[in-house]
Amino acid sequence: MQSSGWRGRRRETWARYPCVLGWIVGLLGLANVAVPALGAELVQLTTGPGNDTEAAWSPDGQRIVFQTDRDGTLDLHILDLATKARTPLAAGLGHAAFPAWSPDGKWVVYSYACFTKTALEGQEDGYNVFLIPATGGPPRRLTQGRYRDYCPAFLADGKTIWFSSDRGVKDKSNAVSLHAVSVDGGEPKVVLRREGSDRAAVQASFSPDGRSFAYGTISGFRDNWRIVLARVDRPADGYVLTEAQGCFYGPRWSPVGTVLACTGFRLGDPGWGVWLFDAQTGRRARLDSGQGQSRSPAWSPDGRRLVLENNRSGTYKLYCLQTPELPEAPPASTSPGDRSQVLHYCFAKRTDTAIADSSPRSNHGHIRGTPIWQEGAIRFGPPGASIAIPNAKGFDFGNGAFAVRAVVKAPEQPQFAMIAMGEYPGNRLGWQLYIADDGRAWFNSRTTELAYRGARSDEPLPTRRSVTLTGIRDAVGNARLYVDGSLQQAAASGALCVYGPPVQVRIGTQYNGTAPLLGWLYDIAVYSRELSAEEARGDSLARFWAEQPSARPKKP
Amino acid sequence: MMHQWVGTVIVMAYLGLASLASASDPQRFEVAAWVDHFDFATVFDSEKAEGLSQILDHVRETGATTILWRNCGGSTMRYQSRIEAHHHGSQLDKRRIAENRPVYGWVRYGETQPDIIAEVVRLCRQRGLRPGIHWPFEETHWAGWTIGQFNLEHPQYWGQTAQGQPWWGRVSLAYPAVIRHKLALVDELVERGVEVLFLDFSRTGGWGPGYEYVEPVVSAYREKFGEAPPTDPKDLRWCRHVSEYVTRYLRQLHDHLKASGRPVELAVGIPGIAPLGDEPLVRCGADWRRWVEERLVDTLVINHVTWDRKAPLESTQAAYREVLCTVAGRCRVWCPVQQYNYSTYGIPAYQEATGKKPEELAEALTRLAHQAGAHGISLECVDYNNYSPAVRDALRRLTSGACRQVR
Repeated sequence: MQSSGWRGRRRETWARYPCVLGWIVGLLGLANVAVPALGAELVQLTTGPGNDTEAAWSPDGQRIVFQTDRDGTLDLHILDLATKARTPLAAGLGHAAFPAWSPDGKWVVYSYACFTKTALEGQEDGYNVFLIPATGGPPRRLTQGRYRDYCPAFLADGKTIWFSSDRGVKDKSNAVSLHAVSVDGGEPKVVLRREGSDRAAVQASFSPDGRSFAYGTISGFRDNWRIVLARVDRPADGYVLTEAQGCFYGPRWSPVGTVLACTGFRLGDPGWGVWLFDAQTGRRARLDSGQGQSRSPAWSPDGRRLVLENNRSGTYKLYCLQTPELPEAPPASTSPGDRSQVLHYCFAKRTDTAIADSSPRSNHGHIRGTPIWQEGAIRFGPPGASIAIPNAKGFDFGNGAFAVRAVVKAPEQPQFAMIAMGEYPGNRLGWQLYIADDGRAWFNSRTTELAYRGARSDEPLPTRRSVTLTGIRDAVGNARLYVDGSLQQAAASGALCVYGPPVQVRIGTQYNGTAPLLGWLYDIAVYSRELSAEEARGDSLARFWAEQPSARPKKP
Repeated sequence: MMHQWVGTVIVMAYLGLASLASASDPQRFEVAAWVDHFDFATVFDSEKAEGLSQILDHVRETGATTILWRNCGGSTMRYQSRIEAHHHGSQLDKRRIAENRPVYGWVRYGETQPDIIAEVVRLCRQRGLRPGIHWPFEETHWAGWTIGQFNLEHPQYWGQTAQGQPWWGRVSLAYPAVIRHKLALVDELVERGVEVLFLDFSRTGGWGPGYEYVEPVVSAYREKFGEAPPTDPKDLRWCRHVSEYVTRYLRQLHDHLKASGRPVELAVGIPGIAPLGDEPLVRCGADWRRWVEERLVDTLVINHVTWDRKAPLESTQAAYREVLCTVAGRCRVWCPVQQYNYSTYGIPAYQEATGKKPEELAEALTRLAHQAGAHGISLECVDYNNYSPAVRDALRRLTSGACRQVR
């Protein structure tokens, strides 16, 4: 059985790592601009055999709890930063993993399993959530059953614990959702449901005010881990902060600010590293840790230091460092006066019969019917409402690239809704950006034989906040879709249709007035070129926070 | 009751004698049974030696002479590997979305005592069977929980699409460290005494040339052809270029096995091999004709052939002959008697096309292979009773009788 308490006390010496100094911070804004290196001192915290991982700093800043496999299975140990003493907290048979502190520092919550039978002989429990006094004592079981309950975290109230779990999955899929359980136990409740194979929400971490949280997500076995921001009271309407061109997981929100630390990798990196993201602006930095891989950062309570694991010595050991400041850098966006822009409507101000185009092409639109205007957006609800662009100029893309970017809020009830489309001679559905009746967004172009080639969003669109959709047909005929700058997995190739002058460009409905957009359209722009991922992201992060001012993270 | 018991003893004695004979006879027509013990997990206790023994005895009823035991799921190992994870380890790595099905999700093959591969080798020898390994050419078995520790720890070697998206489901063979890791896994198997190493190119776990747009492969392409590689991953020139890395790996594997000092037979399984075409190249960078030409492989395993629905057995026979003619005696060839039908060319598909019973088809396919001059048949995969008792009887009778020796 699992033992507990302060038995087997062993002391360890802090080992100041000699070759400090290579802490270079490769700072990257959204436009991937490298900035000068910042020095930082790396200090080794643990030594000895095995791997010391998944550290968490106590709220009083005096202790670090972590998991270690130095004795074979995973145990929890506590490192006292003043005395340098390392003490087992939960050790013995079975695996104890993913520790986290209660806000008052009196408890540690973690995941634990101990198997004494083979799978065929039968196992009642899998990995479940346990609570143990931080000073040692008998652990208390909070969940039970043959599930994988892991990565628990306390909410700010100290009374509720969120954790990741495969509870409640349908059709034997291996999805992981976020669940909540009271510190008093009881039946866990689902907080954020993920459905389908290899779809997961893992490791919630809360903002200092407790209103927002971040977590890692993955959407299928071909996807990469990404970081999502969400409100605690609206967990399903998350914003994907990182792109699938990298792999980012295990976010930890700074206790005092807007910056997240997580483990990440992007092409060109030497391996796993610690990344910092400003949840408010999207600015980012990779901490270059020199030798070895660095993972699983966790903040000190004052937000000035990080503890992390690094394997430069051959096994993972804990280290800490002073956290560098993220420098100010404006996010990239499309520049005004972009000659490739062939249409740009902003619906912030109501107009009656015409909508002015701010692109160089002056493709002013005619408003048909009586659409609804509200809160800086337009809705094509009543039958007959749409925007037509007669003699649209610049939409003859030939076989070249083009992009359509729209800021929309999806309808509450999923239904087929056309955002924008272009009709061409002999090619009535030349290109379309729309929401399907399952709530997912699509962008499609055509082959030279006019066969459909579409890209689809990974998930149904959120309905309680706006999203920025960008459909791109690139120069070699790939059709791609971005949601808030995040490339979606389902893409298509062979979209090499040649576009001449259009018959019509329509916004808000299908070519014949059907499939009205019953959600809200805030802004739409069309370009006769590809847009970068950063351009596709646009100001979506700022919009995300602006639409929920009560949850907006604040700097200290 | 007594009658049944006597019958069982006779069958077991017969099986034992037949198997012992096969191990010592190089001209014996092989019956290579692929065994995925994970698929027996709800029937026998696959975490215990007794269960492994029961699995082998069940499989042996097919007349098997060689056992191709599955060593992994994706790149998680099903034995006590020192250098790779096993799939229960996925429960302890938050990057993996763990398998959670009752029994299947909770087996702990990495902790099983005794070590599964070592025990299976011992049990095979005890039964006069040649112990081999079925090693899919994959690092993910179409699921995140099958990603191994090496992949998780080395994102810098991950595959990459033409659009620049990395994928942890595959590390590229273009990196020497990846090859070293694979050869180290081979050492673990050789140490345990396996005599056949069978690389299955049908199971690629979602990998294909579309994930090889990594820097070394792209640079080499530019250097060779003076232009950027095509973004279409099915472009034949690109696929041929990617296949160079697979071939290079096979050369190193071949040399590594030879250097081990133990006689380990290297077999490769190719899907859609005939009628001859470029499908294996496009699908998984498998330039098998070159491997045969360079004598890198000892045995070519036909995973399936694309037979004609209007003339199932006749076209199968023609396809077998086409392959054997191409091989021209440079390596051994095993033909499929495939119960699995994911290819849509297995026994169930023959049944649909011919109206014959499975045991009739198993017999007919075995005779076709034998008459074409093949060196054996391969059974993909022998699960619990998926080859019915009648099929097992038919195969056992034929391969210990009329088709006992290679023609």
